[in-house]
Amino acid sequence: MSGRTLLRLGGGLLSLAAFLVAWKLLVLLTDTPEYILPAPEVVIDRGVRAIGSGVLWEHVGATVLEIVLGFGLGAATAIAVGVALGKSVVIERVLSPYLVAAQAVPILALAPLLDIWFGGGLFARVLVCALIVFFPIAIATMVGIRSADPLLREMLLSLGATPGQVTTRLEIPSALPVIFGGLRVGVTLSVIGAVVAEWVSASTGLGVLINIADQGLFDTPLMFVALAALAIIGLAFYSLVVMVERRLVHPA
Amino acid sequence: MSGVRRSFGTGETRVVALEALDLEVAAGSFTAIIGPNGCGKSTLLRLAAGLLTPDAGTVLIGQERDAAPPRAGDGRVGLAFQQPRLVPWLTTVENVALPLALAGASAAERDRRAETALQRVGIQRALRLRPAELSGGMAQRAGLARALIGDPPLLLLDEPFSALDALTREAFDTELQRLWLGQPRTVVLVTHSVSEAVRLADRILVMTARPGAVARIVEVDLPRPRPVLSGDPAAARVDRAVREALAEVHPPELSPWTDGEDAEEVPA
Amino acid sequence: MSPRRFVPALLVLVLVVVLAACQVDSTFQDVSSPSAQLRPVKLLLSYKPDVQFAAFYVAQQEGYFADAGLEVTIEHRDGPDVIRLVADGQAEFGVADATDVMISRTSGIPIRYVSTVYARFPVALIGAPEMVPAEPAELAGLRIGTPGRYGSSWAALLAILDAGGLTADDVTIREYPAFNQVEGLLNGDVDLITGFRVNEPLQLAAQGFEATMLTVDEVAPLPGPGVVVGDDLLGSDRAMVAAFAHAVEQAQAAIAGDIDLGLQDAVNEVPTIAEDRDTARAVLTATAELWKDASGAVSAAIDADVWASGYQTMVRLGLIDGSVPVTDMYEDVGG
Repeated sequence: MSGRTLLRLGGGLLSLAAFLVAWKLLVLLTDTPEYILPAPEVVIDRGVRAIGSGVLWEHVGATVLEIVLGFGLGAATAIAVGVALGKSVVIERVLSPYLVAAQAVPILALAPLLDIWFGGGLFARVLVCALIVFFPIAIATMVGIRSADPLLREMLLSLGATPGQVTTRLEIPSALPVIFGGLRVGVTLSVIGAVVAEWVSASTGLGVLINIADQGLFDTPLMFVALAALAIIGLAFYSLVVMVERRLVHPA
Repeated sequence: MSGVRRSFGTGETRVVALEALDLEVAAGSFTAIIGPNGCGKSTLLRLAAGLLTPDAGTVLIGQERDAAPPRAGDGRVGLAFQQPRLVPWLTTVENVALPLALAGASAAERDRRAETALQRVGIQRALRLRPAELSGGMAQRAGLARALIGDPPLLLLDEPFSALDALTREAFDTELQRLWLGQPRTVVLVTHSVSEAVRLADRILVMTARPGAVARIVEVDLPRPRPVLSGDPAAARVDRAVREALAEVHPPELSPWTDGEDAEEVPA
Repeated sequence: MSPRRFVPALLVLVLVVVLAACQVDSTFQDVSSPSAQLRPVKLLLSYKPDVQFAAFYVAQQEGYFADAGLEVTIEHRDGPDVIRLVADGQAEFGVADATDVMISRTSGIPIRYVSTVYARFPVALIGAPEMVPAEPAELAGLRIGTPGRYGSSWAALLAILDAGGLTADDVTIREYPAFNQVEGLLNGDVDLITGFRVNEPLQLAAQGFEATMLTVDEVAPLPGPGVVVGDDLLGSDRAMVAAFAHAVEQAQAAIAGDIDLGLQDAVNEVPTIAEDRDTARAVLTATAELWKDASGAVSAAIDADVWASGYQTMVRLGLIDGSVPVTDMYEDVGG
């Protein structure tokens, strides 16, 4: 492991430790009861027990599946639509109002409708998740496609490049940094999307676990365990996107 | 080019870049085009490269009966720009081989011909470097290598060295002259520099201000290879002739800054 | 102003505005209390302002709370939050499900049930007459819709199944976390649903769906919702708690005797109720029936027998572990 990676890891652990200490201090100083804000060691202990009993994995697995499928579907369609929006001002003018309007409607209101229309199974939840990630990625793609250097475009055309070649050799590679910006945002949104979808219809998942812990069991530490799991999942997926970005996007 | 008109824009913003432009360039000759800003030099080159079509008139490339309008990418024309215009995420060799890649050439052929092209302009060290790692001169040479890789009969150069410092420019002019003498082809060079034009060209076309047309043709009958500053009075005469022609078509930038009688008279 | 001064000044301005706006909410609350002699207290209810809460609106408007020396402000929160906030002392009173009280008390939350509001359990199994079985044992193999595997609906469902010797594995459960299980019943995705006796059946009737129900009271008695307070308040001011509970009981009795009084006070508080007076009246009439015990009168008394057997059921179902005795969970302030 290189010295730099060790330093980064050490820094991360240090900031995590600082966060936990601050949390513990907050609980101590405000004398908050465990059922409102549990101390970190209580949450960790509860988490260890939940992992040991296998309960946590079942819910984690369900949510991760929704995230992977939802983000995949949402990102793929968003990039395709974004390329179309970027290349054609006409398409942008026609589609934009609907895209913006759909984005403005709270997903929490749309989700139950989608659940009914699509039969309330995994697909409906994947769709909710895909919808949440769609807009930022589509817009990022559109902006990125349009950011292609016109001087390079002229150069390519002078070499006899076809419009398709201009798209694949110039516009998409130019757009990649911006697209990945959208993907970073999108992947963290997909975690929210999965939970929102579960709050509409699901029997397993971290969103369901939050409900069960909070409303059924009055087990606030367990609810915090679910929240921590969601945060870790979000971080993991984000890091994955960043890793892919580092391999695909060469610093220009 | 005969009777060429080209304009941009519509209505109030309409700009006529070229009007009633006639010019003819002999095969294998080196022609320089010089003129004030906005005279349509760049438009002229793009018409010749097939990137634009004329509103009126014809543009033809080729000998007599085989002459046909230029089409971008058909391999008859190589074009180099004022900025190198290299693709930032490709290596130098990938950039230079780009015309071949677009045409579907095999990887082996691309590598081979690109390496040769790089050697021709002397930047073989830069093979695997990215454009950001190249100096201005090296990048410009890469652009030139890319224009030449298809061995086009016609090479168009749009102020290729004006972004470089003066000394590098002189050195590159020397190398360009040597390249052309070694492998002759038709060259059309657009430039702002009178001395560059006199040094390199067989004929210098002086253009009018917008809308552009050919104002004067100055023949340059000097022996080659031509050094940077020749003491040859014939060269000085050509230089003077070009400057006079320019003075006739000059826009306000080339006028003296003041009319004042108290200003010192400086021989032009 | 130079840019270097402008940005920090803007940030301070934004911070001040945000803080002020957050204060405004509580300021308005204080301004609204007209009399200095009444003690201002907060009551937390779940759901949202509705005709079901008419008893509290009557207690406010007809002066029952004032007689008890109280100025009551009502706020609405999610059910579990009611218990947590009242236990923590952030509100004086709440109305919560007894089953939730049992679970939260077992988890160590210092909440106490002090007075009965619903003598009969409000949740039932609802469905078409041909689907609702006479005996719980006949539920085996059916598809049942419920909000989720938590809350009083879940406890009631498990209790009914248990009465028939069944568990959740003997039926097919379908979750409706958005509380829209009525739709599942209407489009045939499930055979039966859990729901509130005063709510879902009326919703279904409005859609032309005649429904009957199987109630907990008949097969597996569980205590219904009631007034809850935190241990601290009960220990420090039992008299006030008792006065509050008494005021609520009186208001309930008044409504039982005069439904339209309750309806009118509810409309005063929640004008939108007037948009469908007939339905609201039907809901309130049905609600008032649930307030009455076996003798047919409204009573706030805590039924120790129902609590004892309900507690045993909850332990048997595994919803509580029995580590906290049932007697720690309630204290009848009317007694």
